[in-house]
Amino acid sequence: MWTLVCYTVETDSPDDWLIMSSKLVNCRPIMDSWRAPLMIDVRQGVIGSPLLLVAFLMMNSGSPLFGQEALRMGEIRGKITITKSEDDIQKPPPVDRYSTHRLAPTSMSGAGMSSSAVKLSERAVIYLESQSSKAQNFQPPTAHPILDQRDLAFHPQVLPILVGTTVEFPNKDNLFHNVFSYSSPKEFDLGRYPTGESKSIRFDKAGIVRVYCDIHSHMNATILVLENPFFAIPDDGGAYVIKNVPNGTYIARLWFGRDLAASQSVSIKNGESVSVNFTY
Amino acid sequence: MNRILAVLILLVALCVQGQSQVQASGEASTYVLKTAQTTSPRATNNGNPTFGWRFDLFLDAKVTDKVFVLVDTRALPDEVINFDYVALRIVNLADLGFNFQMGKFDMPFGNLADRRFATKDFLYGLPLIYEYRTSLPDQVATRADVLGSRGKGVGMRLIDLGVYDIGAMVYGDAGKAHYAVAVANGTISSTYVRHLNDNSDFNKILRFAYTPIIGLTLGVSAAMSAYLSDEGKPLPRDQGSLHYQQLIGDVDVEFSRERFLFNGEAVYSKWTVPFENEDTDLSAFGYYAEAKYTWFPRFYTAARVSGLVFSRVQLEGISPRWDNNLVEIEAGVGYHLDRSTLVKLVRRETRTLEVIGPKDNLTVLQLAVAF
Repeated sequence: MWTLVCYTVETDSPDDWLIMSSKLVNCRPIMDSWRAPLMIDVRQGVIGSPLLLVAFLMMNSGSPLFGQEALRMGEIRGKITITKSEDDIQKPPPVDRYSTHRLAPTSMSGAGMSSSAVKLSERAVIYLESQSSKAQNFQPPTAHPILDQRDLAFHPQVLPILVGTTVEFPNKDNLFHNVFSYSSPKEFDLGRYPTGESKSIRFDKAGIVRVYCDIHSHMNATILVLENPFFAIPDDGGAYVIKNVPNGTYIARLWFGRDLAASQSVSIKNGESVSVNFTY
Repeated sequence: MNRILAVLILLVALCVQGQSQVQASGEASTYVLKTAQTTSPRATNNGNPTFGWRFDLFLDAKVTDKVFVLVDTRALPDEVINFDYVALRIVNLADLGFNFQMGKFDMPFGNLADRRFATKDFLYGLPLIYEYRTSLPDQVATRADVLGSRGKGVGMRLIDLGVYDIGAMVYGDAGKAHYAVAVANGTISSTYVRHLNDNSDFNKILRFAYTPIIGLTLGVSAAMSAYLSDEGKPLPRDQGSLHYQQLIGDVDVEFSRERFLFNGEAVYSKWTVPFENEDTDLSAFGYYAEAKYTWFPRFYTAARVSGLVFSRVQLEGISPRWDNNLVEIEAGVGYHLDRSTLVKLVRRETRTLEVIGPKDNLTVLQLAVAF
């Protein structure tokens, strides 16, 4: 995946991360899979075109800074170990009692209401908080992360986004869902729309947004609307990496399922790589 | 007390079953209401304002992948705990592709389903066809008895509340169609007190529903059964109780799109009644249409129009209706305090046609919580 990373030339302080639209100084394309600052799509992972990348390469090739600033960015990597046994938070009811009166709810695959194992990558997020990054305006991605309604469940269960991001809510089941939230950062009610249609919501205020389906009460998801783009989704083995983290002190938080599971303080100096492991 | 104990024992028994997957859920609702000061069955507490409550507990146990136990208990002020639903369900019976259920449950007639509960009901009450008690009893009665009971709310409902009855059912889906066939002790209009089948006939019920597109379901239901008890008053002629049948049919529609929901039903019922000098067919037609629109998150408005139309009987040269025709409008607003908690303010106006006098109405503030 190609990602554009933009940065200042004067300092490597987190306070000097720039708003891409107004203060762009230098950009470099990198090819990676992590969720970086100014990345366009945190989960879908596609940005721009090769031509655009070539243009940026040509524009920046003469700059003495090109290729050097990355050295001033640190990274946090580690592993999440989940020891706590937790029920599937979207566990469907054991039986639909009104299937005696109408069509039983079935998913796109026709599987009906069944609980399936949920991948760690769908239910865990690691993100960084710092006072300095709160004051900044990071450019939200133009592409829209997706919160699927599929197999009578939300996918993923936890979706991290940057403030200002627009999220798509496609219905991929053969029945209606009614996605809504009464959380204070963003209250919305998308109503009922059929298979193949999608609606979107822009999240302009940081915070925790609990998402539900008005028809299928077991369905729930959490959207973490974050103030900075320093977050990562672990792989299913629990490994994660947050790259291009500016020097500074942060609180690294693990969100698991519906809850904040753990927090640790972490400092990045001189662009070093820091290891932070979580056990929950 | 015994029933409370039974519920507790049931809870414990289900919960300690390590092999079973048990889900307990339910809802509680409280309200304060005031009705008009009339003598009709639509009036509550002589028209004086009153508080009230209701509590429902649902227990669903998955015994194996194919066998389920479903239980509903209901409690109201001044009533013992009722078991509305105690049923065993076997899905995909013998791999034949259909499902089987036996016990006490809501019969497959109409499309009320979970809208009977306060957190799912857009408004406060149920439509007239489910709530209003007509002047026709499920016992032998004279013509004068029936006519004298008009508007008093002492007879059968058209559809007896939630149609909870004791019986067995086969049901399933085929593509976009749903079917159900059931037999039960009571009749559609008289289920509530039937703990045993009190005549030699079972109620036969058919339901077919079709969902042509997502969000639209059309249904048709029909049932027939003898409705008089063999243990009641003696029949006036040689005919046995099997001769006195109730035939009832219902069409229903359910539609939703975006933030708009609509439900409607129309039902027609005919009873063969053993009046003192001749058997007489009495019939009734009932309907309702209700809609809900969510204007913005948390807040919705809803309205329902429902009515009952009764046939006429001959009495000394005149032909009055055997009960008073009714039209009722119920409208209200709802606000979700949170995901599980709903507060509703509802106003209901009931018009008893052809009767002069005070009109029935109801104003209620209800708080309902699902858990």
